[in-house]
Amino acid sequence: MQNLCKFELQYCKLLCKTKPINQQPVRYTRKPRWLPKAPTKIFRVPVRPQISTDERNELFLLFTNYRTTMKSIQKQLEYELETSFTGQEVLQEIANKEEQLWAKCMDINDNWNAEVALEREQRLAHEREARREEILAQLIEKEEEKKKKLEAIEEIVRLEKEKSKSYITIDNIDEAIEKALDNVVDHKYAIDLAGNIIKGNSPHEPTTETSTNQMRVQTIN
Amino acid sequence: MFLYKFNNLKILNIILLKSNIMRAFRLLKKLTPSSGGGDDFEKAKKSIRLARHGCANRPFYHIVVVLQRRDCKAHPIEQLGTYDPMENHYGEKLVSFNLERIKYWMAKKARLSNPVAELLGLSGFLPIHPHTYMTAWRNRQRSKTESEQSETATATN
Repeated sequence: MQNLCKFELQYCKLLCKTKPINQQPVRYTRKPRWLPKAPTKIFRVPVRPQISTDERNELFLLFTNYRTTMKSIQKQLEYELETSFTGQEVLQEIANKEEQLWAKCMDINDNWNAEVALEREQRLAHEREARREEILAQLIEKEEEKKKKLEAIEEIVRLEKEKSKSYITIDNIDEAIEKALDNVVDHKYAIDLAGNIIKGNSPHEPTTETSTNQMRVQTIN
Repeated sequence: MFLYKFNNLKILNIILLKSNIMRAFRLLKKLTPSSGGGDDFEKAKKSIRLARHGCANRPFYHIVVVLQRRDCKAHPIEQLGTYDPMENHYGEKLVSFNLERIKYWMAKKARLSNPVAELLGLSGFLPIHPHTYMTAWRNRQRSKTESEQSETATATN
């Protein structure tokens, strides 16, 4: 880190592009590894700490004790942490809380359902009423229509009955034949340019026309 | 330094870019709080240790959880307390702990550094560290010898 900082600073100085803000040059706190032993310290022999056997034994005992107790404490703490997530009581508590929450939710839901049901019933009643009225109106309309139709049919029947008086039946067929034979109706006729009707086969016998017109027809023919 | 080895401009540029990134990273680190939010990996070893936050001739320590392989200035995962090693007006060295979180991190198998273990021992949370006993009896011994020496000196005088 320190190495890098120094390195960077040198670059900054070189290029003068980016000036570091709040950056201090860090001096080496230690001699680099690759430098040899200082000439003044070449023949220095570091003094070993003098520890008596009693002290050493005492320390050994203390440390072993400390280590075992620390281990047990560590285990206890781990156990506590684990039980804080997956202990019976904790789980029970969580379950209880959830149950309570569930009950609360259900209460809210029930209340809401009741409210909605009331509203729905009212709405449905209203709709039913409306539908009944509609159906009634439709029924009345249909009846009226039926009546009208019946009337029309009756009218037709009446007319037919009236007509049936002049019908030719087996009883009066001879009479009718005779009558028809007596009054022969000739439907053939001609029309001239003036719109005069000329009946019969003989063109010289005009029925309802003027003589001048007749003459003209003749000349054309 | 190996600066003069790079005559090639390309390499120099790349290095410059890298250094810029490093600077940005350091700036970002300064913006993040010192009390936590550092890298935390589930399976990496962690240790609870002192991080020096004082200035020259005035030490002050934060008790922090850091990844064990990180250096002393690394961004901590969480701050667990403070320690002021300089005595105050009443001759007290003030320590504060967040014991709940310390318990949690110990349960997560974070290693305790020696000074922190000693502090915790003195605070009564853990058994007293052997080091404390050792320093105590050594101090006692020293004071005893000193008093003896002074006594002999007065006697001779």
